[in-house]
Amino acid sequence: MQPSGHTRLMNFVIGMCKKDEQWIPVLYKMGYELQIIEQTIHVSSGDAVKPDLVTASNALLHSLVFEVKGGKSLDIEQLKHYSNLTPEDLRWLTWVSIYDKTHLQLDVCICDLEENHDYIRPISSQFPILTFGITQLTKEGSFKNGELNRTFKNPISLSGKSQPLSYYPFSDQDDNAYIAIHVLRTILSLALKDSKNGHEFSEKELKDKIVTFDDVMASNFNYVWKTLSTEHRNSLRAKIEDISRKILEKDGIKQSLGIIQQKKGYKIARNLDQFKREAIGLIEELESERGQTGLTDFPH
Amino acid sequence: MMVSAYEPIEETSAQPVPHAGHPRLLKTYLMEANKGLPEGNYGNDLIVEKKLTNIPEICVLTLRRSNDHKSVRFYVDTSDKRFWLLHTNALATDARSLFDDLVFSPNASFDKTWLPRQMIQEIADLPRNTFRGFGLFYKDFFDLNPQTEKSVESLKMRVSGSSSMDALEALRSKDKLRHSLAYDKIRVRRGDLKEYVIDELSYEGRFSAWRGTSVDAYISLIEMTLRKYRSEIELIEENSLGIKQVENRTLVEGQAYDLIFEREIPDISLFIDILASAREPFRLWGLKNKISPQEFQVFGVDLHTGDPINLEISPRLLRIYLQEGSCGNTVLRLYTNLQHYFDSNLELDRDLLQKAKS
Repeated sequence: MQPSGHTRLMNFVIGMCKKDEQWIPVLYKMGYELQIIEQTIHVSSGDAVKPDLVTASNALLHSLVFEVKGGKSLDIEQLKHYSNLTPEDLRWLTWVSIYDKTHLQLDVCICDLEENHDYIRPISSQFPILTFGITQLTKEGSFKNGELNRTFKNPISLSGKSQPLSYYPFSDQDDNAYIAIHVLRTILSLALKDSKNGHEFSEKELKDKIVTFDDVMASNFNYVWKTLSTEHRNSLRAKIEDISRKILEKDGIKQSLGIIQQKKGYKIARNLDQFKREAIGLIEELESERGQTGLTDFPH
Repeated sequence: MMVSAYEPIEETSAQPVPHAGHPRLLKTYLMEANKGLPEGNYGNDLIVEKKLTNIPEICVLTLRRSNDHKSVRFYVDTSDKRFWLLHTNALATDARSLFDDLVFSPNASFDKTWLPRQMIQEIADLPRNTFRGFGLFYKDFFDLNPQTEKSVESLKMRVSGSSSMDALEALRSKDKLRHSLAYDKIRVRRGDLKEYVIDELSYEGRFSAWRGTSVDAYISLIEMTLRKYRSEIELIEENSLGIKQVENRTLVEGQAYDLIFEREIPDISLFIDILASAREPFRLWGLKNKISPQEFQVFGVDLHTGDPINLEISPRLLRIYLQEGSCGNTVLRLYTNLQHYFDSNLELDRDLLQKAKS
């Protein structure tokens, strides 16, 4: 199962800022480092924008602000606000160590997938677009920064490259089945950690802890939780709570988790197998639900 | 193909002691202890008796199984809170088996130290060391394609003497063997003409003093190894994925690690089933997710600590995402054991470890 377009693109861009030759470290080579994820920036004109990613290069004294579009739609109002974004608006956000903030320049860049590009291109033509296809990364439009134009002038081949997918684990745009894999894994991780600490939860305690979680607990599910916007957290929280409830209602999962929790160590391997079987069953169930049309899929 | 060029020269309880009063070898096990000894049971049949000594950092652990009277006494040096040294002169087979029970106790957070081929070679090449021989150990855990011509199912070999390195080079030149040449152990002479030790170091962090005149030389080899190992682990952990608050901003930091295979994985799905089956030596549980026919994700849990770990696997790449607070030993355990059980030419992309978090 593929993660959502949003999750994939977020990872692709973060991956470009990492020193990893198994992907395409083009931004890393120009000195770009990831600064912030999904945080609101107040533009001097009075509006606000919420870019998905802000990167900055100390070497180029340049910030690259990404609006990542995994789907077919784009918020036109938000795009207008980006036109007013100035380096001044970014200075408090970008990099404590940037050596000359007064000369910082910026480019806003749209990032999309090849299959949606025909929808995205007409509404965002005022900004350069980086488009990820199956075999290559292409650029359309021009950056203000010449080094970026030179780097992306020709398509960059993605063949033989391994896409990174875990820098940004998942978002509210991912399918329940994809989020459920993370939630199931996290529940097991918490149960094992507690059993190593000599703590044994009752079924109710475990459920209370996982279903109605706080921000600290949420970071176990998704380590970038604290960087997400409040709206995104709320939306993701609802999904995770719903999935956790479903997981903990499954008798097979409760039973295998219970045995793991009871510190009967020699049985753990066998019960981890059982837990895995139950987990796979639940994920398949959620995947098949995705394929079915729900009432809410019909327009009113 | 099965190659077995030697019977292991080990002390075993089945062997008669050659001479009455013949001294047993001094052995030291280097163990990672993320936490202290568990308070309750160990989750297996192990029974551990602990005796304190007058030195707070030293204690005596006597290990036995509930269904066996045989016991082994270890003198445990916990001066380094994370890496403990367990010294014993018990028979090798008894000591190793009970040490394994201790390390793999489900309710403890212990692990062996795992020395990849490249690190063992660096230790052999340290100043004051002379390479005196090696053992190889390889077993193909991932015998994934029984229809094709077999390469090497298992290989165990021991070579000693001043031309050992030449012998190893000769083996490396054989294409059929090239993925199965992982050090089980090396033998080095450490010290000078008068004060020296002839010592064996295994890939699982076990030292044995074969002969010599200097316990200082023996201890210094352990210390040098520990220093090197600790520095590698700390570098891995400094690069783990995490978030940091700086002036009201939340920054995402860290870097995934790439293990690059020379031997291609023919069936990634089956490879993951074996790798993430919660069994030793990998101690990894995981759910797999197919991204494309040649790319899979694994959402795993390290059973040593319970920490989450993500992997991405393609035919020649295993990418590891270690989260902040997770144990770096997980990376070296995977790296080292994949050399012994899949591809001895597996390489960790060391460039990725160069830049630690600021």
